[in-house]
Amino acid sequence: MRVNSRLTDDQSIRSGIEQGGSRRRHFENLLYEKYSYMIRDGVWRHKLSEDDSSIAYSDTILGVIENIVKKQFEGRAELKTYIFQIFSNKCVDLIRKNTTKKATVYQTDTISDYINLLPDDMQNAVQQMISKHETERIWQKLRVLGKKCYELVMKWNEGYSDKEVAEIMSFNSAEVVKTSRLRCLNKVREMVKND
Amino acid sequence: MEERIERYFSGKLNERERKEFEQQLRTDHTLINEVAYYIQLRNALKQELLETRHAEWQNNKPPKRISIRAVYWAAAVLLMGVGIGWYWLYSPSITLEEYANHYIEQNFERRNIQMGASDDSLQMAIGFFNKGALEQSLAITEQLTASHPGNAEQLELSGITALKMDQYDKALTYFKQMEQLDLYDNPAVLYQAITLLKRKAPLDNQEAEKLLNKVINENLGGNKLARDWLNK
Repeated sequence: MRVNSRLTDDQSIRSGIEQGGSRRRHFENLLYEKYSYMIRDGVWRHKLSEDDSSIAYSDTILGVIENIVKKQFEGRAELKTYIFQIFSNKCVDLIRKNTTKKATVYQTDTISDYINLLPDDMQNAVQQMISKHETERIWQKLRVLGKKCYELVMKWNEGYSDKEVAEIMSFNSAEVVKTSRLRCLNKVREMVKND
Repeated sequence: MEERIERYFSGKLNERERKEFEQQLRTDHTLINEVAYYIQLRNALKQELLETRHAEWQNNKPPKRISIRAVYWAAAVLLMGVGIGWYWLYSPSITLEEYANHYIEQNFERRNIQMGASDDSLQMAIGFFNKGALEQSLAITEQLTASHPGNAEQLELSGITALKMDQYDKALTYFKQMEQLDLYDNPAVLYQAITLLKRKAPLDNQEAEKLLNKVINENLGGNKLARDWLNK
């Protein structure tokens, strides 16, 4: 990651992430490094610890990467402004969580993001079936998966297409990647069930 | 895990498929469970991603370097400091004569007329002085001084008027007379120094400096000013 990210403009970074493949990770690292000075801003402006501020920043960068991959970042604002806005919001969330319940500090907003996609009349029913305990059990099982399975699942989670994964992980085809991934996910499910 | 759930949340189901999925969700408890599991899986994966990538970024963090911006700021502050130091050390300092001119501009332009004051002639002289009619003013004060030599106000006005008329020797005479008076805050010595600085005869400058030192040492009127001028 020791590259001179100052020489890499935002458009190149964004294109590099959008193009995907094995080079995507390189551009993600460039993006992380380029605006990492914002971590200090979280410490000074929001009075967060350096650890908390750096986690908020990592979370921000992952969110931005996800939006770039899903083409949800349209480039109306400068990338720097976009990152700063998300980071500031995350810092404020973190302060709020720090002052309420420490255990939920790094809880992401994924659950509410998905719940909001459901029809209004079904949101409560699904919400009631979700428990923090279950999420933690799934998380534990992910960590005991075999290396290949773990990588397959994580690549899927990061938004890599099956075709890209096939190239990166040297699978014969995208179909093989898909079948293997589903098998791995079922394995996790089984482990959680049998726990 | 149902592939439909993934396609539903990524918006890849067509309209008919989406409606069917949502309708089934309302009645099929197993599907609700599946959807809830999917969301929890996604949440766990996101947390795992954050944890692993964050650790990776932290481990690969380059050692702290001084940023270019910090170097620029440091250089700017250093240059500013050198500039200020140079200015204080080598900039041409204000001369005593410039101090004297400034003092005259600030203090010898107008004198206060005391309404209802008993000494009408002195008030008339001040009136002439304020109008710039210096000769008339000096004529009156000289007459008054001849008849009442110990009046500080008359001596002061005479000296100042003479000074403004560039009659430095005459001004010095009046200020020296004024110096002899026992006043609480007598600026006569300061006035003499100012007059010498304006006259600029040989040795006047050194003499003025001596007088300013006298003002300081004897705590005479204007001693704070004299300290400033001599930078003491």
